[in-house]
Amino acid sequence: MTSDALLVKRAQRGDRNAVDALLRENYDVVRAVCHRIIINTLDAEDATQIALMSIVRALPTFDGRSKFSTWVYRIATNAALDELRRIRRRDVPNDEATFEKVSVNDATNAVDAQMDVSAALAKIPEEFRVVLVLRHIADLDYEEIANILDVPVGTVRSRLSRGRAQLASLLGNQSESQGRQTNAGGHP
Amino acid sequence: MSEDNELTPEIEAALRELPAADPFLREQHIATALGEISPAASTGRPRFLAIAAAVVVLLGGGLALARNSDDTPPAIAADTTVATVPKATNDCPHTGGFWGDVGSVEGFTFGGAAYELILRNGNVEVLLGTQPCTRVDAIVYFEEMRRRVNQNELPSKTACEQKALLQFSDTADGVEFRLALLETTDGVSLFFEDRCNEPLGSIALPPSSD
Repeated sequence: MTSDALLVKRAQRGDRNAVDALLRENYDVVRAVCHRIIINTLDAEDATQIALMSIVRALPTFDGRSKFSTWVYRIATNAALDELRRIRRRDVPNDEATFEKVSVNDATNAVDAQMDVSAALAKIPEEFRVVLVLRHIADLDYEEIANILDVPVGTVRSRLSRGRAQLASLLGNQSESQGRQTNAGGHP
Repeated sequence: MSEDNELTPEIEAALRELPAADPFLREQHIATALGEISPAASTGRPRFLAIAAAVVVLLGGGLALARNSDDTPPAIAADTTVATVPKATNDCPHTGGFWGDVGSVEGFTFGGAAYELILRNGNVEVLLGTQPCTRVDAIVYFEEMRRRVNQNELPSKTACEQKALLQFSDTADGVEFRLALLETTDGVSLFFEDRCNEPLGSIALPPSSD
């Protein structure tokens, strides 16, 4: 049994130190998934909190059939998507007004690049954005993403391709986007 | 896999690069999540969590009580039922960082110590209302509101018989729920006003030192 698997077992038995260690180990990627899916910082922090709480509550139900990290990403993704739905009910979608003001062409330094990526992601349809995040931040393969989102692998492939094209286009990567631009809001 | 190389390394790096979490917020997130550990799941050290929580609360409460005894008399006698809702102390910062999206703040007293109840996006946070503004615990109720809406368990207009320390309302899917914070023998519990026998969560608070 790997050390991670042992840690999970201990956590499932209610060992607080093990739960604490698992949360710390996965905190950054849970937070990254929430921030990149939700974009709005405060809402993303809320989703991060909800995801961590959900992980703890659901720990006894983790059966080890998937990797623990994949299971964590699934919870983080669901928390982020739930938060997005809640935001839509609550107010205007997703701070678009704010992001409209952000330039997406000048990635000359780290801060600008950071803002550009956030702004660009905000313009990408949710279904593409989620797949981009799971592939490029959570490092999941197509099958794992398909499993989390409950869609066919082909749909993952298609959404990823279109998401990448849109992201590259928005960030001014002409070599990537030429001839491949898609309309925002399109479906695979 | 060639498809994996479609994003340039710069874009891929920018995607992954997120400003570091505020260390305070990170600790708060983890501490709150640890509060979700089910006592039933704990087989090795069943009393550990309760003892740890009591120590944290008592440490925080002791600070507040000490300050109260130094500076101002308690707002109410320790064994008196709170009859009115005291004003929030506004002693604690509620802007920026973790408190940046605070929706509302109300004050209440328990055991002679002043507390603040902070409402933020489906969470109730109980904070000691005197410096150093120690966060005691949180109760999350948004998911339960949403579950009730999804299962069409809509709120009725009934109210709790016991006088509430604080009352407020919040909405899920456009449905308004009335909530009440009630005093218990060892702290406070949060309820939907139409379900006063099912606490959404409880927070232990230190008793009066009298």
